Amino acid sequence: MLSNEQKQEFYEQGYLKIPGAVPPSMVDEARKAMNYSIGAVGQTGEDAEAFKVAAYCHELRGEPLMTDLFNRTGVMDAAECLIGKGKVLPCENVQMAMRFPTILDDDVPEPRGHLDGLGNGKNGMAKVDFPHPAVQVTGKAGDAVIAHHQMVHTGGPNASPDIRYAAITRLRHVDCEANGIEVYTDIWREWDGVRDLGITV
Amino acid sequence: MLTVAQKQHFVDEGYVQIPGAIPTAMIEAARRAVNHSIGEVGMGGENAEGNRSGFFCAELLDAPVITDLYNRTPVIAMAESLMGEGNVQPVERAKPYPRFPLPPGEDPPEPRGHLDGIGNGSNGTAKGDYKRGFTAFAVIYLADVPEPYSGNFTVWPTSHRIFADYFKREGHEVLKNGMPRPELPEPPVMITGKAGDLVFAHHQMMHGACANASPNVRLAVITRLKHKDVEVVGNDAYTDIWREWAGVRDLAEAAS
Repeated sequence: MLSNEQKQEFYEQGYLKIPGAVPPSMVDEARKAMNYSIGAVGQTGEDAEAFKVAAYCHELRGEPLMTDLFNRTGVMDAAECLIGKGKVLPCENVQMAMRFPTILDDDVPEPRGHLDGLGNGKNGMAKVDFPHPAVQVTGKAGDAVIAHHQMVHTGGPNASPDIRYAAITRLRHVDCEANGIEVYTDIWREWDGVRDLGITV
Repeated sequence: MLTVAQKQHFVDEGYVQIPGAIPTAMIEAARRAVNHSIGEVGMGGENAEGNRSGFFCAELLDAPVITDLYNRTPVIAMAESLMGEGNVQPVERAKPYPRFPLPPGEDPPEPRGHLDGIGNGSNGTAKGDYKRGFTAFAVIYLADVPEPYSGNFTVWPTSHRIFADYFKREGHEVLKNGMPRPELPEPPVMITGKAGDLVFAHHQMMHGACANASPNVRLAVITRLKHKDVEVVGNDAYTDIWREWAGVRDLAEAAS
């Protein structure tokens, strides 16, 4: 269950971090599978040039080891708190999103975000000015972040010594297909758990 | 540079671990380069079938970010305190050695070790050939390895002396038949440690990397240090195991 403060934060900011949402044993097992895949399977499938990060761990995308991170943890409970009880389709597909360090002497660029689903041949979007700078979300293994579909987002540049490991899925409301592109403007249509916050604000 | 106790441990056990030997900034730069290579360069080179984890990072073998871990830190001075001042050749190549986890659900086998330089036809040396080509292992952990069965550099303590006695009895020519398996008195030690720790091991130590049942990639750099006279001494060092160790030879003689 999320607190009213957490719901409010999601409503206002468009995202919410939930510390420790996934048990360490499940996180460790998932990370082990990802690291095994990097070493023993390597880069495979899709368009390795355009989606270099996504080219790893394809064979894990539908594995329960990965989908359970969402379906059998507090992540789904939190999502239903926001989207509505019984309104969230089970997670069937997970993107294993490793982000490897940049080259040692390269300058670190500022994060550059996008919205999903805007086709331009290379899956990008026009540059827009935003009132707030990007937040590079920090956290610990097992933390979950839920973000509204209409959030500009990205994987920030990695100038650390370590690989950034994350599992990302795109949760769907049961009426996602029916609502379609109307939610570009009616952005709380699929958010029963927080829609009333909009009335009082 | 090393204490008498550290030297004595090396003589008795055949290896010594020096915590925090490498500055954190250099470890992080090396780890970043290795992790970049794992993701952006990926597999390539060497013998993909026989040495699966060894063929990552081939482009870093002689990169300064890796070789400086030895040449521009106290590592060479520490090695000289074992092998004698001015006796250690600079490091020209060092191998970043990621060891990836086992697949989930697979139990790790017990560690299995070997001596270097013994040909089996599939390790780059012809079967029947053998060569004692270096003086010491110098292993640097780039990331913490807090538990055993995590891909740890693994040694069989005292095996350097056991093999010396074995070769005195049998002759080192026995190596033409492959890796000998005399009974060893000590179980293997899967060396745990933190990023920046250094391990020296005698060339005649049975060693290996144990299976990695942890969630993480074991990140280490390994080089084989050479005494300046290594080529001259050659295979004599199989039986005269302290010939190239001027810094500890007196302790070894006192112990024998």
